[in-house]
Amino acid sequence: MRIIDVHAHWGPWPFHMEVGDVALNLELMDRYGIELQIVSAAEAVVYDAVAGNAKLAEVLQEQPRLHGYAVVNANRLERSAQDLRDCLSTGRFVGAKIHTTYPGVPIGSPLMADTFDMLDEVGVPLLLHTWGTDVSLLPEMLENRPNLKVIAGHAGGDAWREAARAAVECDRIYLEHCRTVTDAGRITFARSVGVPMEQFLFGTDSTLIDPCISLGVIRDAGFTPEELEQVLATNASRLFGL
Amino acid sequence: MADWLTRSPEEHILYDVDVLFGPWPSHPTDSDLATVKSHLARSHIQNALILSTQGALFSDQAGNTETLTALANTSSSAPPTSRSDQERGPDAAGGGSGGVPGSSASPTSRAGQVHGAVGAGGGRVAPEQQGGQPAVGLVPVGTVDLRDAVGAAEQLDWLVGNGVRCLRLFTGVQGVLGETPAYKYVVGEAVRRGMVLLQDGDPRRFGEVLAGRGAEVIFLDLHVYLLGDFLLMAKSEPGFRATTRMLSSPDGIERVVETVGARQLVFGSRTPFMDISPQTLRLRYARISPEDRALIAGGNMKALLEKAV
Repeated sequence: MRIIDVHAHWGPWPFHMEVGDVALNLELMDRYGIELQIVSAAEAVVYDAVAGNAKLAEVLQEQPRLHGYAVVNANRLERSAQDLRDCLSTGRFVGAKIHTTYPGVPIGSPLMADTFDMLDEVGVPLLLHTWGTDVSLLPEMLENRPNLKVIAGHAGGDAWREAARAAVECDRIYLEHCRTVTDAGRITFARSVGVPMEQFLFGTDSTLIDPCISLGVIRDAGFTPEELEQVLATNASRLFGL
Repeated sequence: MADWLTRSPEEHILYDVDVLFGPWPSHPTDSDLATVKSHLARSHIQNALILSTQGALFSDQAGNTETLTALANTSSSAPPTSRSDQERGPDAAGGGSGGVPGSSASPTSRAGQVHGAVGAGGGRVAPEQQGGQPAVGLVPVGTVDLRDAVGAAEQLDWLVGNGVRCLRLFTGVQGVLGETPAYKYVVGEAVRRGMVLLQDGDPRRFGEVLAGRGAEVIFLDLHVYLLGDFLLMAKSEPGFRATTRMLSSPDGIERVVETVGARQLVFGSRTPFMDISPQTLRLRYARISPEDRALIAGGNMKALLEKAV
């Protein structure tokens, strides 16, 4: 069974854990049968986007099973936009990643709107850290940005019901449920309100989180074999051309 | 290659310390006791420390009574903890948010009825067969509402008299943001009675009050981001334990085992509010010895219950 992980990281985190070696990415991928992983640099997420992206670019040159997200900092849009284009030009990056908490830019911020404009122009998928009810703003924000496809990373966190309803409203919003706190019934709820199977993606937050956490969520969701194939690989393959 | 799709014996759990039943208004659905037991059984969880949500949200007295009554009604016998576990074969040795979910009735005649059904067995209700599913043993957990703890001592006496050995505190949903007079009072009274404390919330917030008392504590909401703080406390507090539920990093469980030993970890799923498979899979794939895995999966809790009897 093919598995593509659309939400992963490379590099160390400022917590009591030792997960920064790319060898761990590969060890965990092998353990669970994950073929490909799309990663952003932890340093780029929590500290310096451009510097972190540059370090990741070097790692990606040696790791064909990993692809990259270039982290975009909405507070430094002009610099980040150029950096994104530079990263994409290497052929090893396939999307953009935006965290909302570390740079302090919520989804409803004017800075985020400007950043969405830029991403709509560039036309690559965006992995957006979503954590809270402002995930409900996404359908309206995508209405006039026809080229932008957004993966709702963590599927809204605590606001997983709002994230599901947003995905029903807009077919360019994808749900990805990785999270340490694995609230029961999130996927069942999303399906019950009408999120199409095409809009579910598989992500892990590895190596910050062990992939088995998200795999457990998938196991408990009770997908059919055909649905599993779609969620674990086919949808991501289509979205990223992998 | 998809081994993770199939539950393995390394995922079997002897004791789950974090289980509830009953309505939860902010959750899409409510789960009654039968539903919870069925879910536990399907997940190969053999015993659960369990209580009614009523005690957390609405009335501690009514909730405690409901817990004991409901558990008494699930079985007609109540063997001692140690014996019943021995009878259950090799697996019995462990073979294999801001509040929930996230993370006595006073001594009245009704209480007396409950006491008669449950108390003699050390609070332990015997496992029973459930239509082909593995049996699930239930261990009642009591609670005291920290918003109104004036009568807590009487409540604790009633619980202990009914064989309840574990007291769960709900600081998150009850708005207890730190060491309030009620919190300190209840902790003191519970420890004095030798009860095991099931503590929700941020361990950094409550650790200092709980330290230095010889308390047996299980932190139910230890997030992996706070692991460093927990380990610093746990080194000097052998009675401090945590559940593995949110130790989600690839080395979280391993770091606790390496630093303070497996005896300070237990399994607590927060059923029915959390998925179980993520937690059993993390335990299954943890790079620890089978002996340490068995301790975490229930050996530690079994020993703690025997000690508390």
